Amino acid sequence: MIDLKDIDVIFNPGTVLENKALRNVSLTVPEGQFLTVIGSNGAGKSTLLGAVSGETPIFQGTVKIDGLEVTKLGVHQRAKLAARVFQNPLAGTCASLSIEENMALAFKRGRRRGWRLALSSKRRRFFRDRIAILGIGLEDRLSDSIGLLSGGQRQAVSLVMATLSDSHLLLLDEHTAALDPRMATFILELTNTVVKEFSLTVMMVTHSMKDALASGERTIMLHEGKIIFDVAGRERQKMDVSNLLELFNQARDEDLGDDSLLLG
Amino acid sequence: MSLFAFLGTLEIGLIYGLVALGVYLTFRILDFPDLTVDGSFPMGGAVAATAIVAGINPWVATILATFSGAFCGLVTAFLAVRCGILHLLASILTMIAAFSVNIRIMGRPNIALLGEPTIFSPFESLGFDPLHVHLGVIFILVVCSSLFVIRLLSSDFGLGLRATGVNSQMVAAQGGNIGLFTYFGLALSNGLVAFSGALFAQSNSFADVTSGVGTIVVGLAAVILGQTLLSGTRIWVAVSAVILGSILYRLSVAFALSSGMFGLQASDLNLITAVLVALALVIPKMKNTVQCKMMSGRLPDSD
Amino acid sequence: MKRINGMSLFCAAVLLCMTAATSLAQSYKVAVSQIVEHPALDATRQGLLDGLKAKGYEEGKNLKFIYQTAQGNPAIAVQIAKQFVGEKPNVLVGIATPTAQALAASTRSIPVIFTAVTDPFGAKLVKNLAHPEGNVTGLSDLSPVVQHVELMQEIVPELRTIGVVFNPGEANAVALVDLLKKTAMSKGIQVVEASALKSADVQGAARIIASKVQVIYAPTDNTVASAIDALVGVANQVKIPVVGGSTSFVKNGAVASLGFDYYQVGVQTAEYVEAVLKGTPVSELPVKFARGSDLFLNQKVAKRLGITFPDAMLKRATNLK
Repeated sequence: MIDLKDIDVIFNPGTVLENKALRNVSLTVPEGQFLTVIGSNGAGKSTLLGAVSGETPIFQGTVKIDGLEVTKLGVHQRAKLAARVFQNPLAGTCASLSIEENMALAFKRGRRRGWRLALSSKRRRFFRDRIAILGIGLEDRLSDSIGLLSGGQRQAVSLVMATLSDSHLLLLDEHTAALDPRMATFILELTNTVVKEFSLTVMMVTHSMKDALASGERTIMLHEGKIIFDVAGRERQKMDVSNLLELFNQARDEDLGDDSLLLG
Repeated sequence: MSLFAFLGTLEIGLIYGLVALGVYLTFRILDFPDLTVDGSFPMGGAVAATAIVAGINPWVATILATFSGAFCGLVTAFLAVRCGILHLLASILTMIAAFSVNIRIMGRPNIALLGEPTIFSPFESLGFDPLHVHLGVIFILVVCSSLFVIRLLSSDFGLGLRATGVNSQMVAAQGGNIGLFTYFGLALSNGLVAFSGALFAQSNSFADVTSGVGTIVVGLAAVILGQTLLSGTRIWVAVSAVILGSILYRLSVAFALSSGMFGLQASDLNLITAVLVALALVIPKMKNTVQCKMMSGRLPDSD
Repeated sequence: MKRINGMSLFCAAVLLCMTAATSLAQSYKVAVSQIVEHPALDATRQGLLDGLKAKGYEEGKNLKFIYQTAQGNPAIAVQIAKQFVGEKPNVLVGIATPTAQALAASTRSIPVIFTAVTDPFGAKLVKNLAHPEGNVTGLSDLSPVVQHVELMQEIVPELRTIGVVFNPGEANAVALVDLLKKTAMSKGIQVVEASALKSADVQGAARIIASKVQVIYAPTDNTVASAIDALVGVANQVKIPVVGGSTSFVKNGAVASLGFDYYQVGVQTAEYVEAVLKGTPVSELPVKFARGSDLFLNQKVAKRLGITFPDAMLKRATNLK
C-alpha cells in the first residue's frame, strides 16, 4: 500500500530554475491495486514515482509504504519495500554480471548481504524455475553476461528480478518506452501475468494512454504537478483513448497547445 | 638471469601481487581510482617494522599493519562518500597525509629489521634457505589472500561490491548501500596493500617511507598487463591474471636490469621497463592482426 | 588460446635475453647499487672506480664493475640486490642507506661494503661499529655538523637564525637536522626548518624560510642536492648566504662548505673494497667515518652578498673560487 500526503517537490528551490514538480499531491494506492499514471512530459509522473522510491527528495509532505513512514529514508532503505523496473533497460541490470548474478542481487533486495555464496546450486535451481516463466529460453543462458541480451530481454529479466524478493510493491517507470512495439507488447503482457501471479500492488508510469487503460484497474493523470483526474472501476472500463483526451481537455483550464501525449 | 635472481624476482612479484589485487578491487571492481596505495604500502611496512622493533609478535605486527592500511582506505572513502570530495583527489589527500603519518609512526624515515624476528624467522631457524622460506611463505599468503578475495566476490556481499562499480543506481534500487560498499572496498584494497608492505619490509629487512613512491603505477601496470594477457570475466581468472601481471612486471624490471650489454645505462631502467610492458601488451594484439591479415590474404585463393 | 601463446612468447623472449645478458666472468667482480643518481653519489661511484684503478683493479682488464641505480625506488633497490647476489660478485657495494640495507638483507655470505650512509648503526647495517660481526661494513658520511655551525657563525657574526631545507623522508637528512638542532640550541641559535619531499619542492621550501633567517644550511640530503641550484637561487634573491654540507655545493653558488669531497669518499671506499678483494675478513674492517673535511669558499658569491671572509678562514680553505 502506498500513502502519499500533501507532497510538494521543488527542484532548484530559490533559483531562477525553480520548478514545482509536484504541488500538494495526495494519493492512496490500496494493497493489491494496479495503478497507471499518465501525463505529458514534465507533468510530474516520474517525479511522483521517485517520491515513492526515494529517488526524489521531498520538500514537504509524508510518504508511507505499507503503513511505514519512509519520508526520510534513502533509496536503498526503501528498496526492501518496493521493487523497481526502469525505463532504460541498462539501468535496472548490471551489464558485466551474468543473468543469474543479477538475479542473486535482486534476490537479496533489501536484505542483509552476507558471506553466503551468491550462487548456490539451490538458488540456481530457484532462478532457473523463475526465469522459465518468461518462456524465452533464458533458463539455459543463466551464466551469460546480461550485457549480451537485448533491451526487451533485459526488461523481462528485470520484471522477474522484481519478484524474487518478498515485497508486494512494484514501481514501473515507463518500462516499455525504450522498446520496439512488439517487444513492448510482450513486456506489458508479461507485466500483467507477473502482477497477477504474485498479487502485487503496482504503480505504472506510462506515456501511452492506450496502455494506461489496457492495464490495471485505476488510472490517474498528472498535469503541472497536480492530479487532474482519477478514474477507476466501471467508469474506467467504458473509456477509450478519445474519452481520456477529452477528459484531459476538460480538466485543464488553458488550451491543450502543444501536446506531447502519445495517442498510441 | 641466475636462479637466485629469478626466485628473488618471483618473491617481489608475488608481494606486489597483493598490491595488484588491491588495485584490481578499486580500479576494476569499484571503479574508484584510488591513489591511497602510495601511502598505505609504506604504512604497512612502517607499522609492521615499528611493532616488531617494539617487541610485538611479527604475525600480530603484520595484522596491525593490515588494519592500518584498511584505516587509510576508510579515510579516503570518508572523504569521498561523506565529504563529497572527488575520489581521485580524496585518495591523493590521504596519500600525502600518510607520508607524514608514516614518519610519525616510525619516528624517522627508515627502520631496519636486520636481525629482528619476522614472520619468516621460525622457518629460517629450522635451517631452511632464507630465500626458499620467504618465497614459500609469501606464496602461501598470496594464495590465501587471492582465495579470500575470490570467495568474497562470489558472496552476496561481493556481488553487491561488483555491481557498485558498474551500476550504482541499480545497486541502490536493490537495497545495496553504495557508501557501505565503497568503505568496505577501499578498506579491503588498502588492507591488502598494507599487508603487502608489511611482507616487503619483513622480507627485505627494512621499512622506508619512500618505498611507496609509484606503488599505484606498478599496481596498475600489473592489473592491465595481467588482464590483457589473460582475459576473462570470471573472478578467479581475473584474480590470477593480476597476480601473474605483477610477476611479469617484475620480470620486465629484472630483464631491464640485465640489459647492460646492449649499451644501455643504468638510468635507462624505467624506459626499458616501460618498453617491455608496452611490448607485452601489444604483441598479442599484433599477432591477432597478423593472423587476420594472413586470413584475408588467403581468401582470394580459396575463391 | 591466442592470448596464452602471446604470453608464452613474451616469457620465452625475456628468459632468452636474460641468459644472454649474463656474460663472461672476469677475475674480480664488484657490483655497485646506488639508490638514485645525483652529483654527490655519482662522484662517490667515480671515486670508487678511480680508487680501484689506482690500486691496480682496472675495469675491463681484471675487474668487472657492475652498476645499477634504483632511481629512488626501494622496491627496485631490492630487485637489484637479488640480481647482484645471484651473479655472485666478490664484493657488493651499496651507495646510500636503502640500497645498502637491501644488499645486506639479500646475502649473509658475500661481503657488503656500504658508503655514503650517515647512520649505519641506526640502519642496523652493523651491530658494532668497531667490530662488524656479519658480512657488512663500510664508510659513514656523517657530516661534521658542529663545525658547520661554527663556520656559519664565522661567516655571519651575531648569528641568531639558521634555515634548513631537507627531506623528512630521508634517513640521512633527518639525522643531520637533529644534530643541527642540538648543536644550534646549545649555542642559542634558532633553527627554522622547511621540508621538501621531492626536488621540485626545494625552491618553494626555500622561499618560505629565506626571509626569516640569516643563513641557509644545505645538508647532505639527496633531495636538496638534486635541487641545489634552486636553493641557491632563492637565497641570492634575498641576499643571504648558503652554507653547504657537501663541497660540491660551492660550485653551484653556496658561499662556503665544509665537508667531504664525495669523490674522496669513493676513493676511501675503494680501500675497503680492495681489502676485501685481498681476503681481509669483514670483521677486521671497522666502520670508518669519511675523513678529509675540506673547506671550500666561493669569493665571487661572497662579494655579491657583501661578505668578507676572515683571513684565518681564507688560510684554512682548501679551495677558493
